[in-house]
Amino acid sequence: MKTLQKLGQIDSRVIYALLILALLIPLMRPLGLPISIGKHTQRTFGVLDTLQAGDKVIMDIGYSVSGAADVQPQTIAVLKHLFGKGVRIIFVGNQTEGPMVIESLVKPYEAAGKKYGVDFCNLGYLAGGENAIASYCRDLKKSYPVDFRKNQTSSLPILDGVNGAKDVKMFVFFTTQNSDMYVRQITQYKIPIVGGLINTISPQAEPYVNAGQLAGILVGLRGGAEYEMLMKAPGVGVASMDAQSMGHLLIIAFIIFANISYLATRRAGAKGDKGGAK
Amino acid sequence: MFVAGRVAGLVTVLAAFAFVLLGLSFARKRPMRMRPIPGLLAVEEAVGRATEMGKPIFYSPGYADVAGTTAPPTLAGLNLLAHVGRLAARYNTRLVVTVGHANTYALATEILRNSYIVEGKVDQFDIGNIYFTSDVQFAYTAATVGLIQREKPATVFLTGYFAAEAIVLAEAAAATQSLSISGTTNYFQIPFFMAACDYTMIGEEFLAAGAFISNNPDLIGSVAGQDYVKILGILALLLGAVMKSFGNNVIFDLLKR
Amino acid sequence: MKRILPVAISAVVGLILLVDYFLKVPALKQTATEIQDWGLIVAAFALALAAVNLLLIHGKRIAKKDRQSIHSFILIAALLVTTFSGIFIGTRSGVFDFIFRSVFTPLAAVFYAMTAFHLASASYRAFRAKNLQAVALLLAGVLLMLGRAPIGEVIWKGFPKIADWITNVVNLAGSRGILISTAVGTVGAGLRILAGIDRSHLGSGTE
Repeated sequence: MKTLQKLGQIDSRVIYALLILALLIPLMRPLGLPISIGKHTQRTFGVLDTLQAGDKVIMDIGYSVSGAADVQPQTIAVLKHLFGKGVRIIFVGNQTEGPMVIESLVKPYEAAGKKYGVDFCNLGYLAGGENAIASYCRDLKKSYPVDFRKNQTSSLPILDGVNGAKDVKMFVFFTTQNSDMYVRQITQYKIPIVGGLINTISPQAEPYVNAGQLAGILVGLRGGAEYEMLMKAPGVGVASMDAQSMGHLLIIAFIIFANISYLATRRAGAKGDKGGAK
Repeated sequence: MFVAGRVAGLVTVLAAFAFVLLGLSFARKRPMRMRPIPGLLAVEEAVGRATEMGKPIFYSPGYADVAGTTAPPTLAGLNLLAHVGRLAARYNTRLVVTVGHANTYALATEILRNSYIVEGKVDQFDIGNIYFTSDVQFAYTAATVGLIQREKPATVFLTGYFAAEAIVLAEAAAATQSLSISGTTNYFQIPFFMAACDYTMIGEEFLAAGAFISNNPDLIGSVAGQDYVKILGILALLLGAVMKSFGNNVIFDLLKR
Repeated sequence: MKRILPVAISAVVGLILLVDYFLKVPALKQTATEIQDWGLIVAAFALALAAVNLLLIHGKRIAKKDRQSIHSFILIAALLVTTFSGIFIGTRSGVFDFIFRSVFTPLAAVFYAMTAFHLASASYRAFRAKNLQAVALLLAGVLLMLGRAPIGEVIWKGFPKIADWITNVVNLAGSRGILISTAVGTVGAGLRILAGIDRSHLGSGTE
């Protein structure tokens, strides 16, 4: 009985050490668990697939580097899709690190022949959060007179005829914050809005998807993995899924231990059920 | 005249304004009671715990600004800070505060100074106990976790705007065996606070903290007005659900206008 | 005047933006746009203000030889190195790129990654079947974890469907309720600020 009670008093450091192993081992030796494609990813892929070569989209990289682990696999997969179709992308950053993240994302495409100013451009970061989104959607060139690479935006061929959100085919955003501000500011321009979100905030975006205000969403690391599968280009997302599976199983195992301990303690009539980790 | 798609929103906002003003007028005529909020009832106990243990109180209203969408929870956090500051001054307990934005720092400093002045303990006020960490989310988190681990407070207040750092801060508090009281309107983080903290104020409970503590009739009246709006919302929801179930889309179409 | 002017400015600006959002008033459109542009400028200055404030406050800590001053020293050193390399060498230079990619990015990612470990220990501590609500929380957590990871679908094909139902029905209902009440609370807080009843944003309490 005492052994069962001790199951509820495992040191946090043991939990952390086991979790590291549970995450690390599948990354080094993948299990190859099958990944089915969810309805959100399927829908989003379908929406983005309607874009044609030469179409212009605004892509807002609204995540900080801290959240990149969750959202960047989606971004990379979507970029592969859009650049592969010849879509022209106007990047903007809603976080201070946004422009730097954009530069790292476009580097391989630029090396492969995509031309800055023609196939894509990086307008940089505009302070102000939702206010910034409203501003550049209303008047892109006024909000960004100069881009991140210090070019005059009026001189960029990709921005010919693009004065704001109404002049592009689609708005795509990737964020670790909420999707409300994008829906609030962009719906009025009547263009499809597609978003990549972290797991935690995706339930908040569901009503917008149901209402048609968001054309599609990608949810967390799994969304990125599913998109990679649809693109037939498995990457970091797919590689991380096995680790996620093992991590979840480990946490469930600890929850079971904790409850066995709790029930054993209650049965033994011990006072207090606060046998927490130290 | 009206922007398409926003008429329902306008009507809702006007109704909210009207009901809040109604609540204000009722509250000024006769006293209104608020239901007890466990997290707020525990504040005095929490400060007392720190005083008895001879350890500091740790407070953070989050890393966000007092402007924009993060303003209401940050301001609510600062309101509660004023109250906790007064208690800390009264019981001569050290209060350590971290904020993550320059504007919030300026307000927190002034609010705390006022709290100490009101208690007649202005000489005890030490601006060195208020830390302005970076406004970068995880830099703020790192600084706050470090401070909690070094200061080993008896009580930790995490009441304001928090995002992904919520669980990290709450666990840092738990690791030092502190009593933790949390409150935020960011409902993605509420489950994490519920799991890791001793007391959690959910959404509007936290926004109503100022009214509950101050017992100010105007604030209580506005909270009452908000409740009237919610009752109206519930009625519309129920009516809409029943009507939609019978194939009638009137409410549904009205809300889309 | 010191008390009335900030409240008056808040009220006027707030009302202009509200009216512009809901109504088509051409006369106000230009003013509202201008105010929003000022908001962008203020936000940009707030960034600069944050940096200046950091220097001042942490500089004072170093001068006072505060017990936390070593951390302040490291903060200021990092701030100055990053700022000068970005301004004088360039944000696309090797130095700035190195700082961003090899220092800032891993440090930021580490703290986000820590949430996973803290979640594990919090779940271990909190998910105990003490009462009916705790059992519901525990079951929902376990089912969602199984439903979202590929391993769950391998164990039983029903787990993703259950996870979807919990997310789209139970969670959505609860989160909508909280969202609505928080939105109403925010409108109430906004009204109190616009009307000057609550002046906590000005550093003082309520009227």
